[in-house]
Formats: sequence, C-alpha cells, structure tokens
Amino acid sequence: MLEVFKLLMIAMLTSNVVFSLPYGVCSYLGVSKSKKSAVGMGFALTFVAVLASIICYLLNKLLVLWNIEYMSTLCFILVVASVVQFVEMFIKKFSPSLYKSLGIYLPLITTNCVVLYICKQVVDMDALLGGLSLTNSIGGEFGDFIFMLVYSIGTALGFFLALYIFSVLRERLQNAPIPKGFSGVAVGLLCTAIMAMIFMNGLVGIF
Amino acid sequence: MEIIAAIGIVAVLLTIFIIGYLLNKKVAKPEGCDDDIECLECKNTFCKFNKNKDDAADNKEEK
Repeated sequence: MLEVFKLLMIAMLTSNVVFSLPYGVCSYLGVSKSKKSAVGMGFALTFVAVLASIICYLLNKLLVLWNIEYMSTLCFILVVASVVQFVEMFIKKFSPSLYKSLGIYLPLITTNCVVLYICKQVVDMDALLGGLSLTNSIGGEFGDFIFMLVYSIGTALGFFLALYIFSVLRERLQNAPIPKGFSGVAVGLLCTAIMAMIFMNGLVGIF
Repeated sequence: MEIIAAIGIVAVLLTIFIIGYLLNKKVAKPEGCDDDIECLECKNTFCKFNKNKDDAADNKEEK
C-alpha cells in the first residue's frame, strides 16, 4: 500500500507532468484564465486519461502478442481520439448538465499530449516503476494493473493541480500592477518556472 | 503477417474513430451550451477555441 501511495504522490507532485517534463503546456496556458475553466478541463482530462490508459494498457498486450509494438503511438492516438468522441457523445446524451460544465473541453483533450504521455508510459510498468525506484509490491499482472491505474490517476490529477493553482494565480495577477511587457503569458511563465522549482526541488526526497 | 496485423489494427481503430465521430455529430448539443472558452494563447487557427482566428482573417483582408 505504501508503494501505491508513493507512486500516486510522485506522479502528482515530484514528477508533475507540467512542471518536470513538461507536457500539456498548451492547454495549461490556454485554459487557466479562470478557476471555473481550469476545474472543468481538469476533471475532463482526468476522466479521459484514466479511461484511455486502461484501453491502451490492454491494447498493448495485443500489440506485443502480434509483435507490432512499433504501431503503439499511432494506435494510442486513435484510441485517445475515439475515447474523446464516445465520452463526448455519452455525456451529451445522458447528462446535459455535465456537458454544459465540461463537455466543451473534451475536444481540447484529443490533442493534449498529457494523455498520450500517460498511455505511452503505462505500457511498460516494470520500466516505469524501476525508473521511480519503486517495485510492484502487489505482484503479478493484477499488481501491474493497479499501479498503472494509480499512475494514470496521479499524473492526471497532477495536471489538474498545476492547472488549478495557475488559474488562481492568473486571476490574482489580472488585478496586479504588472508592466505591459510582462503581462499575460510572460508573467504566467515566470510563475510557472517558480512553481516548477518548488515542485521539483522542494518536494523531492519526501516521497 | 505482422504487416497485415498492423494494417488491420489501424483499420479497426480508424473505423471505430470514424463511427464515434459520426455518431457524436448526430447527437445534438444540449440547449444553453456555448463554445465559449476564451483562449488566445497559441496561433493554431485550426483550433475552434482560438479567438485569434478572427484577427488573423481581418489582417489578411486589410492587406
């Protein structure tokens, strides 16, 4: 259980997908103007990322069986795009209120590299856990699956956390007396750099 | 054999995507939904949320 918790915290904080890699910076900068849009994007991305990573994890078993692992990137892109289409369709049909709050962010997720990154990472759990100095303490395929799930949830929540914090900062910065040349994305990127230092250097060693 | 499997799996996934896209297009958007995310952060004019698209078109017309 401790290893599971450590993996969750590492994926969310010290190996945060926006601050340490960085991936998903386009939507991180674009959808962080308000807290409301950040929350919507975060939830939508978390849901799609977890679903897509489960499908890609299982699909990869098939690709390995047929000796066509080199097709993984193309196949995963198609899986992510399809998942987004079906999720959007189901939400439109069965939960219009949910669609109103987060459905409009779903097309943005198709091109978000965070989802593809998670899918590419979870296919080789031994390498992933080894790289983070963790082991599959549960054991076997079931253990791999649980760790895969935890990693994809942690990474997606890490993106959500980064996006939300940044949206709060940007809302505050809108009212701050910033020189014209620094306003907007410029000061945002400066804040991101400081947050990256906090996340990467300040939190490392805790987990 | 591997090539056939590779082409086959891509064809299947592409078909699933196309079916999903067409079905999604058929389902009407709920009332009261606007595509109103204001995003000005990149120059990707293909993106439907990019408000810069209108500015780019205006600049082209002026020239």
